Amino acid sequence: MLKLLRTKLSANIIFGFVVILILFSLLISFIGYREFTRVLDERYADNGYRIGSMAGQVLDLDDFDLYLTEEGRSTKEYRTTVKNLQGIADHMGATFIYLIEPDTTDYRHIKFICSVMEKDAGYTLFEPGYVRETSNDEYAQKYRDIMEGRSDSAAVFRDQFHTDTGAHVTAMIPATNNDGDIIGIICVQRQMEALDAPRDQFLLHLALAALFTVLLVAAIYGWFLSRRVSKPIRAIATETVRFSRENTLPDISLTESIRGEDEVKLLAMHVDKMELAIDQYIKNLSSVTSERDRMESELNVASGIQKGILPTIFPPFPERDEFDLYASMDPAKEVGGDFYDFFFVDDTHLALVMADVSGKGVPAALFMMGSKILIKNRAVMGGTPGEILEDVNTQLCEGNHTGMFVTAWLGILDVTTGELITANAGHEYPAICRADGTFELFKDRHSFVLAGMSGTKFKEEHITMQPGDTLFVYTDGVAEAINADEELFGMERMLTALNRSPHAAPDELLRNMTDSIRAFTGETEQFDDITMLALQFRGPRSHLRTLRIEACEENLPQVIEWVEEMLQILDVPPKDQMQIDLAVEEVFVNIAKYAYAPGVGHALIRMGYDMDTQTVKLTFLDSGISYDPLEREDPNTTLSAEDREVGGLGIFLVKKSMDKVEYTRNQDFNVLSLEKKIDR
Amino acid sequence: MLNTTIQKSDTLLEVALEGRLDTVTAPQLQAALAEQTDGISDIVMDCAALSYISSAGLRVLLTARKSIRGELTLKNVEPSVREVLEITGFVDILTIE
Repeated sequence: MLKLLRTKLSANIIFGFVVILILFSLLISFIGYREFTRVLDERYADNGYRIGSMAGQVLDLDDFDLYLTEEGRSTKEYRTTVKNLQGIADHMGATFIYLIEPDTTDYRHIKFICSVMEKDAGYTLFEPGYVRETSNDEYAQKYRDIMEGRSDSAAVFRDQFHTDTGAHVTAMIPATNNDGDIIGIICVQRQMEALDAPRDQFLLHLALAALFTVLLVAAIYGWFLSRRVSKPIRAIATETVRFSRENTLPDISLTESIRGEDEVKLLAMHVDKMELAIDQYIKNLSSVTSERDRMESELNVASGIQKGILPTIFPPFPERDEFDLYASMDPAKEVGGDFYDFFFVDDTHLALVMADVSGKGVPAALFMMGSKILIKNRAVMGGTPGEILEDVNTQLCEGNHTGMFVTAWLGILDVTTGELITANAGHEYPAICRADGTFELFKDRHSFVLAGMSGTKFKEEHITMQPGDTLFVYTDGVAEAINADEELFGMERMLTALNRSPHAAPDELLRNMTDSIRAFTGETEQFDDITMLALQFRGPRSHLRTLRIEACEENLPQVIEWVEEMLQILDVPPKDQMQIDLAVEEVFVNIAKYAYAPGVGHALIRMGYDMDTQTVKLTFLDSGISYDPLEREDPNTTLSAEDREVGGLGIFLVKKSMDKVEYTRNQDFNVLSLEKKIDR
Repeated sequence: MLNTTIQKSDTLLEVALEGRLDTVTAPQLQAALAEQTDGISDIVMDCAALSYISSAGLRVLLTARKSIRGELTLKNVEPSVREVLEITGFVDILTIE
């Protein structure tokens, strides 16, 4: 960047300075020259006047005939006069001395009366009585001044450089007769030798002195400028370029490296201050940035924790076929305040929760975690939704200084009867679709929000779900989704979206809703968390029994007895009965032997019967090590007795005797589901 | 529940089984056979009263079969039990009458 400089500041300033100095020296020289000339002129003029006055003493000024007539000029008196004049001219160094009588009408002509000339002058004298034209107006004016008595002396200078005849002066005084009348003018012309030669030398000296002074001053001033202005400014420029590239403070600050107390120093100090401030700012910025990165990664973890706390594996209860359930939450920020939950409070009662914590972001997420845990923990202790919310509300109100609150909808469904008891703490109306109808809002009686006021009572509603009925609960993020024109999605659109395919399975229903909201909002950023849960009640179609028992071989007879008890009720033929027994024994013994080895644990066995398909359904759950028995290769049944291995036949027998065998790993459980169609 | 009646004559062991041969009862038959199989070359089991057999029972049968030089014969096998023997290929390594 410095290379771009075409001219330098100091060079510019010095050039201007030199020009001014030269002009100044010219002026000084001119004035000196003028003064020099004037003083000399005056001297010469005075000298001329004195010579003229001496000539006046010699000349006879009463009778010009002495000079103008032949008789006069032949007299001794005339010759004496001329001789005396000649002597004055020779001794006093006057080139000419002459007496004239100007023509007083207009002074255009003069008449020479008497003239002498220095002996070596080499000019020709005008004869007495010679009339000549006045040389110029200046002479005419001076003649007039003297003849009319306005001045008693006058001089005309020819003192310009190199005048043809050399510099000279013509001094004039009046010639006065004995009566006091001015009758003519005595003129003395002198060469000004003292002017010509010294004048050239004077000017030469003056010019040399001025040049020397200019160069000296320019050099000193240039050195000073370079040292105090150019160099420091270049140092500042270099430093700012370095700083902008490296963004680090210099080893030696400009304030230290630049001397002086002037504006350049001030600039250096301010550049230092600015660099310090920028450096501080950069450090601040990077610490703020790393802080923000840390916050971001923490938020990501928090988001993971929050998602983790919500049940997200669907279907959540694979062994249950009384209902179909799906739920989703899309937080607007990394973490949100919405949540849903579902869990069995006992074998037959399913709790459903939909809630929305006031506010958004981290505070809402923290409050959400507490609320979710409180509701679940209280719900599994038993009681109706109203009682549960009352206790949860008491807990949430304790120490709630921040004024947070939660709107919540809690329902507990008896899956064997379809009896649903709900309580609504300031939450959105649920939507229900009857098996033969479309989605409509169920305008339940609202109670006050959770964490709002301790001692709140929560009203309950009773709804009977018929097989095929679907329940949809959601948070305000659905109805309050905003499009580019700031229009709300609204309840109307929500019901329309639901009713596009009202009898669809819950997961499809939620997907439809999400699609509708997306189509409505377009590119607009999601403003609030969008959380939904749908439950389709299928009805108590299967006779379901559950046995929880310690998984050990000694308990096998008890398990078989429990299975046969139901099979006898169902009047299953002996052959099928034996095959079911066989499968139950093999699976149960497998769990007993391997699932918890070397320790012990429990097995959960659910047994149901689907009358529509005449199928016995059995599900075995254990929380032992993850193991899929179906992965094991079938034994080779064609080997000879010697080559056959003892064992490995159990699961093979299960596969052969059942119509359907399925394994899934659901959260911490091994789930093995068996189905056997009964031949009647 | 399994009742076993064992009769030994020379190198032949005759066993009558009654009830269920499952995980719980199989060790009991296993132990009974282990005591008696010294010097035995053939075993005949009467399965007329055997209503049920699981893989644990099959294991006992295979162990018994491997411990003798001669034949292990099953008589009067019930259809449901016979099906298990067929599925598992035991009909090929045992003699079913």
